[in-house]
Amino acid sequence: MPRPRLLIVDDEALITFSLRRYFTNQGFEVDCAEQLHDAETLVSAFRYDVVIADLRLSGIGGREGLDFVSFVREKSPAVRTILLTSYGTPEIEAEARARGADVMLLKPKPLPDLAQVVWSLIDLPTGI
Amino acid sequence: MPDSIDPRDPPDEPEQPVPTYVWRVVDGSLVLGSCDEASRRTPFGRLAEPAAGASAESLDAVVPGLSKDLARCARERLSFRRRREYTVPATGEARALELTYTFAPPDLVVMTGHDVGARQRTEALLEAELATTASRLARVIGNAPLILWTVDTEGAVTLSEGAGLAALGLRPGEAVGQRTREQYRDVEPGLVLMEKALAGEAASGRMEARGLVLDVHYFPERNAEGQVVGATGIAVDVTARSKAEQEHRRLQDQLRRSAEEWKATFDAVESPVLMVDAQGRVKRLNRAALELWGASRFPEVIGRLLWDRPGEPWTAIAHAADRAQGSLASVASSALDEEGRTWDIAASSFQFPGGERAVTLLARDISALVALQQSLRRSETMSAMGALLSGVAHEVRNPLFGISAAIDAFESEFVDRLDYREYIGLLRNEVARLNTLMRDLLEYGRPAKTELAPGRLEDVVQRAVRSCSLRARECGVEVVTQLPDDLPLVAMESGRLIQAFQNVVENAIQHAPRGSQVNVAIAAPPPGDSTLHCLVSDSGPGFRPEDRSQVFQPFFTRRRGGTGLGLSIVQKIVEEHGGTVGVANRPEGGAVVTIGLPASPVGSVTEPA
Repeated sequence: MPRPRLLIVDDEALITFSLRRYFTNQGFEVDCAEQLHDAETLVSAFRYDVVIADLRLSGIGGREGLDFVSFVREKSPAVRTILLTSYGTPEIEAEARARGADVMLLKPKPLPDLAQVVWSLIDLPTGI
Repeated sequence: MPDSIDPRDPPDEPEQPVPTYVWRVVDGSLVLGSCDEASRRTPFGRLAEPAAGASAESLDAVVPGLSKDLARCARERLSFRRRREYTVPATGEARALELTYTFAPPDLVVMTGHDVGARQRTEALLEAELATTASRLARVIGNAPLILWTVDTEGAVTLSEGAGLAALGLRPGEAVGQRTREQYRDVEPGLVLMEKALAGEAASGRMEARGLVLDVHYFPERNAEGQVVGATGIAVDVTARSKAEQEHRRLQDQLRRSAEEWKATFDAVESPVLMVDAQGRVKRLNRAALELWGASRFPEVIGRLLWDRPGEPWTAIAHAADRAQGSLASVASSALDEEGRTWDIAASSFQFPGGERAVTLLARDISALVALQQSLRRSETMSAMGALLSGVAHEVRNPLFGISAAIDAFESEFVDRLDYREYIGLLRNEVARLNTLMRDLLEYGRPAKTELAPGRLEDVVQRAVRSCSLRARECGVEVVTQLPDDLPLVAMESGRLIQAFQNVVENAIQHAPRGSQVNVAIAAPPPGDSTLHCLVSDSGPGFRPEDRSQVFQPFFTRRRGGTGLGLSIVQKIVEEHGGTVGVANRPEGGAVVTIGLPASPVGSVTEPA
């Protein structure tokens, strides 16, 4: 069985590093992008099962994560999206859902918990 | 006519026995038998000097007709009276004799008489005097600006005099004969006085009569036996005076009312206001100033020097008054008094129209304003600080997540390396502490939200207790709740209120000894009160007395590993709900934290939050 593919989008190097190592250990094929532009290129080139994206990719006030969610929804509707951010206000959550994100999670989150969410999304039949 | 007799002299022997002559009939003519001494003292006696034995005819020379009277009396033997006139030769004065002849059988005629000349003269003079006096009296009364009248027992006017009559449209004497009881019915009070006088009692009164205002005095008129035979009335026209008195009273009332209004206005001003003279003595002050001085009655302060009153703000007021004297500009200053109130003082000098100078002073208590400014500055600082705290906390979260993610990744990669486990555990703990601190800082710095909805406090408490259940188990502490039924609803933001209670319960759990209980009880508001009280008590060491006042300060903690923000966050949340929080030690040992929240005015018991 092919390994599930995971894309991590976050501008913090330590986070992408840790998440990559962790999820690789969990049996995922992991790609990382630190900028929106790179993330879009990757999503267009490869088929991912789940994408985890941070809200901010360019510093204070950025909301590129939301734009990315819209992009993914449009380009590859089958891809599951998780918005992982430390700025999870109800307003952001509503916006994320409106754009088609599957889940919004708050930082900090223990990685095992994050993994559980990822696995549950993969187990979902596509098309729902 | 020459008057040789002064009528003021008593007439000759008027009270003495009448002079008597006794005549005897002798041979058909009358001869003087005797005459008494009094006879000799009369003018006639002195003139005639009749001696005994003188014939009646001889006296005819003095009093013509005398012998005829005597003869008649002897002949007809009857008594009669006759006036005979004679002349005093020396002066030519005409006099008269009033003679009485009486026949005394068998042959005597007694003649008595008196000289009426003197009496007539006296009478005439008296009459003349009376006439003069009467006319003078009439003149006096006629000129006096009053009305003088008399009435008889029937109330009919018998006399009506006085210049005052003109005002009534009457001439003197015109009203005589008028029946007052009928014609003066319109002057009812006057009739009342008259009846009193006629009943024997003097009476007075002021009344309005026919357009005039009169002061009427009535006196009973009594005869020699003391019986009331009429009444005398005197009326003084006081119309003009009465009008003047009325006007005077009206003006006085106006003045008094005006003064009262000014005084009321002056006293209504809540700030102390004073006026001092050029020497700095208090001329006038309002009630607020009196209270500030600390006196209870105005006379205690009026006339005192401002400098006499020790303490602030009076010293500052005295300074300001001095500076203002003679200055065109007004003076402003401020002072802090012994009770910590801040006063703003304004003084300005002015001049009365008469040239007298004075200074007015106004003191305003601006403590509240100052406090508000300070509070505003504080809350602006707080807001700025809060914004800063939030920013910091958010920013710190990312690297924190990086660290915790790295630890998770590290652990999963080296899961079988037992020697790394301890390091990983320690690192995780520190990261957890930092996460908690960030969470608390964010909560503390968060601006207050005001969207409160009615909810059940019992539910809040239960959820808070439930979320602490793991901690309670770990510490070996049992959390017991006492939640009565039918509690009123509380306006709340339930998420935050749950967090506040969570903090308090957790705090209690952490201080409670292993095996003991933490009690969470809600008390329903007593009648007349609308506050619900929730008490969280433990049997731990309690609060140290020196800590009691600082317990709510941010970062105050005696517990190693705590953030020190727990209770400050509780206070913040509770105060945002309009409630209060307090700490105390229980008499039986341990601490109790009391949270009071106001019951929501709207909402029914069945509405959940």
